[in-house]
Amino acid sequence: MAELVTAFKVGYADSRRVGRLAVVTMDNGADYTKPNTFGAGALASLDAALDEVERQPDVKGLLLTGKPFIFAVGADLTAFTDATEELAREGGRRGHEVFGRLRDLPFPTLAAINGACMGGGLEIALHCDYRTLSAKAAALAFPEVFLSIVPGWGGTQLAPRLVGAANALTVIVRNALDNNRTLKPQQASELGFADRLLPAVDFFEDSLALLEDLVSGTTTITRTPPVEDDLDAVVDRIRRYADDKVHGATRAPYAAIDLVEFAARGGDLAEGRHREEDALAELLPGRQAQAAVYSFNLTQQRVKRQPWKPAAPPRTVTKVGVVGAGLMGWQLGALFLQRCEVPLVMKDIDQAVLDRARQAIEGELDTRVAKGRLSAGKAAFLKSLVTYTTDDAPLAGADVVVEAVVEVLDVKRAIFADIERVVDDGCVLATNTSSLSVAAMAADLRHPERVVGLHFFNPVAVLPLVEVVRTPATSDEAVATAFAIAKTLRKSAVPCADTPGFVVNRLLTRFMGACGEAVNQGNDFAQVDDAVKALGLPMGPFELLGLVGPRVAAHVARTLHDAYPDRFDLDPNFQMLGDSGLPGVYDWSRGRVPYDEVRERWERRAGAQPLTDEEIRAAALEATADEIRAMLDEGVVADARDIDTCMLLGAGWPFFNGGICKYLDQTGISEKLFGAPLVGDTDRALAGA
Amino acid sequence: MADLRDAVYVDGVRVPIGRAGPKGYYAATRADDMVVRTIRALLDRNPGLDPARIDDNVWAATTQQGDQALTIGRTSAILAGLPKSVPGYAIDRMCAGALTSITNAANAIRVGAQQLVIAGGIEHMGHHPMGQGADPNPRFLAEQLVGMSALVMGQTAENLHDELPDITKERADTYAVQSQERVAKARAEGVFDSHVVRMAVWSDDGWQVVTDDEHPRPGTTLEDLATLKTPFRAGGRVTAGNAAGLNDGAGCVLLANRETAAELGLPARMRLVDYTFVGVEPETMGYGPIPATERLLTRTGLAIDDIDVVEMNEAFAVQCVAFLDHFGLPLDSPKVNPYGGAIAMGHPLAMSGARLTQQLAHWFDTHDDARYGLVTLCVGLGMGCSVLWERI
Repeated sequence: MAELVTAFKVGYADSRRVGRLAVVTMDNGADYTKPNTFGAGALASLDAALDEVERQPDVKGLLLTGKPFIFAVGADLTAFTDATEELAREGGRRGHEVFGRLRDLPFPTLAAINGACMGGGLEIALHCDYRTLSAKAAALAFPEVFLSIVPGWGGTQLAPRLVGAANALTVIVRNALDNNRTLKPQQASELGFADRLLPAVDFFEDSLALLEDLVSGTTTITRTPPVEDDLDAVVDRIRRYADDKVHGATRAPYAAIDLVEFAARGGDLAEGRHREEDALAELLPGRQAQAAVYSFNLTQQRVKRQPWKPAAPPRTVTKVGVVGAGLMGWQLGALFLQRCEVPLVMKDIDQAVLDRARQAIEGELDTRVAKGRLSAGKAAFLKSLVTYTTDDAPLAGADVVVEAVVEVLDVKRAIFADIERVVDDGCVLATNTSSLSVAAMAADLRHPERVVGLHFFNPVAVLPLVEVVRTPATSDEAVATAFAIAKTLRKSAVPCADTPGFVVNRLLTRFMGACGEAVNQGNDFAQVDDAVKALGLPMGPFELLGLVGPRVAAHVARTLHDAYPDRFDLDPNFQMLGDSGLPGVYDWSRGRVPYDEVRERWERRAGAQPLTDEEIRAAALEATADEIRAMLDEGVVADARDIDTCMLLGAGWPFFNGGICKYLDQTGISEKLFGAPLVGDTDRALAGA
Repeated sequence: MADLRDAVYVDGVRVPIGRAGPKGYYAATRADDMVVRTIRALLDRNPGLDPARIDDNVWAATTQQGDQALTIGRTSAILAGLPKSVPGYAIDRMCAGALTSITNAANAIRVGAQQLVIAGGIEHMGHHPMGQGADPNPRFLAEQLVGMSALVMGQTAENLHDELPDITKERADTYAVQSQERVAKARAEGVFDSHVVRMAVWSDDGWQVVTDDEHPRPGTTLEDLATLKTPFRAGGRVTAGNAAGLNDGAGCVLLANRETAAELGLPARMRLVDYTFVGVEPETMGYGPIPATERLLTRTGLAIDDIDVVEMNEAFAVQCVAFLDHFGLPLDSPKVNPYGGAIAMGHPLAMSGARLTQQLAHWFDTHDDARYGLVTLCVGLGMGCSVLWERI
């Protein structure tokens, strides 16, 4: 995709008070849905704009602002893919050169940050003498480290000069690693990024008036430097934070910390700029940055465009049923209730379970009321929409019913048969099964075409992924309804075939199996977790097991073993753990220490040698790669990219690994095992479709 | 009448008037944003005005569609950040829109129902050409309730020339040139700086700051005007040069109960004495200001000589000359439109009454010996109005 060039458009305001002021607008000619970005074309336009301004003999000041609702959101990502070291260095140098010209102008310059301002957008603002910020600007951030690069157009050098090292590191490193958290205008202002926080309604006029005052000298701005902790302590704290987040698996946060530290220790600006260019040249062509851009495109574009969505119109959802009101069931009920705001029937055979579900759902609403995010009246109305029942009859009239009952096929079949007796023929039946066959559940129904898989991840409110499972019998309308529901629930939906474990559970189980095998070989649980976390995973497999629950994990493992006995061993240790009733491997009350029962009952292979960290990782990755190859051959997803999307959004695997397929391709594992990369660029039909 | 309170003029602002059309100042600017700009400026200029004390936000627009729809008095109150407790409404009397906002607001104050009211008018004729979306009843023509020409303002001006043969094209053009000259002089003297606020507007060339009216053509000569076409009638007298333009603009005033103004330390600059609205023949609607003013003078017992200054809308030069002739005033009377008028500045229909009132206030501010001033307008479909103010 070619760069949508952001032009720097020069106009002049002839101020009655101070004379001629240049007004420079950044505008790529599109509306706010395509924000201003900077590529080579934009930098050339800025260069030309500064030529134009400098040619005017009588300019007294300059105001830089963006098109409506947008300031600028940083570099043009389309230029990042396959960037070479030379291109990366030149991109950094060119930005420094042109932004530097802005900074060197002989009259006061003011950045009027009117809207979303990120990365290079924030950097160009830092090159102005002063900054005003609209109180309704969408967000401010340095997302570079999230993409495994560093702010390379002066951000790491100018931010600490303006707001101090600690604040700069918070924004450049901490927020970027914290799910790319952004700043609200009030927060950005408190950190010192803006000299004035101004109401949105008069933002331009008030900013211009401030520039006039600064030019005329009727106003001066003095900034109090932030009181800083000892720099060593600040840097040490943020390094430990980065370790905790990425475990050293990407250099970017550490490079950013070094750059900020250099500036904070009084480093020369020109030298700092060179160092930024060095960092860009190292990082941008690197594996992690390339994978991060790939991940960004998957989650921001492919998932949102839904190329797989059927053309059939979805069924309008005016009433929802949830059968099975346990942990998953009530979470789904709470989500449907708050996003769809339609009558909801919570059905369970156990009144005590229903009572707990009611408590949980109403408690969630009450919490939102207490936080001021929901009015008490609205909460009462939402509560009134819910029927808690042990009968099927109230499900009549539902447009969709989701089952979240125990993972036993016969139970689910019986429940669907019961539901079918009360709902009308068009009602979509969705199953939240994590590993059972959706087709088998639908087989005996009068209308098997209405059954679709809608697999959410626990905790439902947090994890953004939904696997949408279609069987050979599923109708386009049911699938379209599933995608529409996912969108209403603000989830990212990826389609997959009706195969055991679908995507995330299948891969995690195979991965976990390899890790379990390392323990069987004599390695410690914690050592295995740490070895794997060095890939950059948010948590190790045995840490994750505590979240999923050993019983569920053992069940999925058994299902997968039954389906694919060649690749999924039935490790008795996991079955033992599942049956033990323990919440996981670790007894966290003692730190990351296994329960004595686990230590005693986990059977190791006789005479086996513990593996090195390297060997643990290699074994886990090769097992994963092998499973991915099998999934692609089987047609579980349309393309390896969708596996990556699932691992990014459903398992929290890092952007800088591109999920997992991209990583396997980048590191040569795919080539070694299969002689070809996994990630393709065409979508194939799903199995059974 | 005895127990009426005084409704006083505190302040007024408007944005620069732009030319309607794709190249005009406001081509890419919403009408409601222009309204909001004036309300914000009014608040900014009057720090003593507690927004929560504003009792109403009254706005006129001729075409209440699109960015002028949805009860613009209420939408603009919210958009301007006024407390949600401040209500608003929208009205229409075409060219007399803002003037009707002002008389309505003043009446609410005079009877004691309200104390502080913003009253204004908006017309974005670039977004809403005259008559947009209108569906005139066929009975108007079938039953000859009005002549064909009544709906075309330029033709009503030609009709007025027919009725008043003493008003030649040359006299009309002379008046138009004078309007341009007076505006240029007033602009040089900074008259408009007292109530015109600049606005940032979006354009294909990025943000632009508009500071001065776009419409005036300083240096216009009689010779220039003689060459213009007469689009409403072959061989006619009405041209683009001796008529008001098609324009975009927004303006408003702050009116207050006199005691409330004193309490808040707001200046009371003039008080509304009385007003009239009258109907005239729609085919010669430009005649409207004459009977409106006659009736107002009669009601108040004043003579035209008692009036120190008249701010009259210049829909057409012929309409202004008719007024001057009727009251025995010379074409270059210094007390009628001393700062020039709409022929030079432009006429964004429902907005103009606000501009005229603001200019009258400025005249009073700079003429200590003045006492009475009139604001008068003609209105489409045959109406006239006249509002009498007394300097405080």
